[in-house]
Amino acid sequence: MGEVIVITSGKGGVGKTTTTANLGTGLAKLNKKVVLIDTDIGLRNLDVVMGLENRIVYNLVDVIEGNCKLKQALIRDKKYETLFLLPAAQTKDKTSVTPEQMKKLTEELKAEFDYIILDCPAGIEQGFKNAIAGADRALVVTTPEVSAVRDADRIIGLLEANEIKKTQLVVNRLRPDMIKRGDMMSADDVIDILAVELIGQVPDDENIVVATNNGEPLVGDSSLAGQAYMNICRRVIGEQVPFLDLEAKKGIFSWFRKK
Amino acid sequence: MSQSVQIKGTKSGIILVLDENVSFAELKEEIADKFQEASSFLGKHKMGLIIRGRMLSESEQEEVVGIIVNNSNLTITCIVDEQSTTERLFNIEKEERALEEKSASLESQEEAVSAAASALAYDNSALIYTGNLRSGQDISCEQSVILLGDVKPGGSITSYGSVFVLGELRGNAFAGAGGDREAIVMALKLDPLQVRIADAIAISPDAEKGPKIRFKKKKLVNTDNEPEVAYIDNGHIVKTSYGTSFLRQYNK
Repeated sequence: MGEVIVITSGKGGVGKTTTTANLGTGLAKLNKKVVLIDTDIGLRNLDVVMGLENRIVYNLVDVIEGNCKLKQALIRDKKYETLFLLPAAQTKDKTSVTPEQMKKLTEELKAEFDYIILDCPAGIEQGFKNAIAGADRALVVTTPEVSAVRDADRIIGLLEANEIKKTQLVVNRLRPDMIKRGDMMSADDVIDILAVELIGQVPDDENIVVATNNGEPLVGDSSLAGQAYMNICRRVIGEQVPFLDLEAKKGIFSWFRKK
Repeated sequence: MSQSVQIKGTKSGIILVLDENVSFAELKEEIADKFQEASSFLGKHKMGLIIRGRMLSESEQEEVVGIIVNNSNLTITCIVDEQSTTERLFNIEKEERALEEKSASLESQEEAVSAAASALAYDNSALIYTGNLRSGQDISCEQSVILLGDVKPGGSITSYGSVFVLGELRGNAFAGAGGDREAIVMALKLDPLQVRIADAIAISPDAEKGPKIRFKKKKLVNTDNEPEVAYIDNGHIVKTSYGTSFLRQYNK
């Protein structure tokens, strides 16, 4: 029986889609059977981040409306055999799907996949309600800015009200140099405000931009962000992994120092 | 062409209209010919069958189904008897919903089909649209489409006829949506995510290494500013520059 994980944030632009893509790819790397669902109907972009845009024939709304079979709409990843994407429709809007229908869909997918990961749209309207309907666990993504943290707080409240059993936090785009200077909240500061379990802290990394533009998630590579995402994946499947030391400067000297 | 056998299609089944005044042996030959001709258009589907114009015995009905299955890729799931509204199942899974729909809205479907059929018959009309098609916008109609503008990634055009984009095509295009394999997709710059013509589909090659390479490729393509066209050749979609050599071939 699979687990349904929704990636949400409230505020836009904090890295929900990037986190979804990396989490999905990372879990596939760990030999799990994973399906990613883009629930951002009308503003889809998970397909672009995954580099699968050109393969879309059917989408989520087609599946819900019964225009095609579920299997027909699932797009297999370029690299990983066990990773699939169910893209959102671009020409419809969020009201084309109801929470009940989403719940039914995720139940159906649970039988076949280890993890069903839902990319939630920004906001707390219909799209959000659809995305969390069938979720067993929620990963709330936030950045260390007051606005994002405020929205995350609201989202966590709504998740609790909707009886999502497990809520964990990903703090994205941390900049160790700014934290050191005291210009930015650290992950610990954010946790103090939100009072939920931390599952990952991801540094601000140029490589993310490059990877997104290439349509190839960087999870698991040597970059700091890649390592951070891989650690999140390990924690999702239940491993105990210590948090990365984001201060570790990359480069030949630090490599020597470590030895 | 004799009209002793007519085939009509609906969403969930096909209607076979048979002439009462012709012998059954003759009819069988005619049915075989008709379905052979239409097999590529009809495609590979599971359908119900409705027979009109002539009463057939059970064994005759079975013969007709046999002929259809042998001469096309169709699978006949049942025969709908319109008089008694009982359906005879042919050991393949029955699609309840399709059947209900069929008996309920047979009339309205027939109207829709005849409208679609007239569009298929290529009346040489076209929809002319001015402006860009951005992500999430789409045109879908029965005539051919002429677009004075660009189709951005995520935008799409669907047409029973051909698609002509007087601009860049970088989104999706679906020509010959009703099964017309002669339909073409033409654009001043043909760089789509997906092109579909009738039952064929082609996707753009994946960008192998990052935006830099993609950028270079773009420039290379730009050096020769010829319009391009996609059409079906041997069941596959091919892309070529829209020039005299293509026209010579197309007009043949």
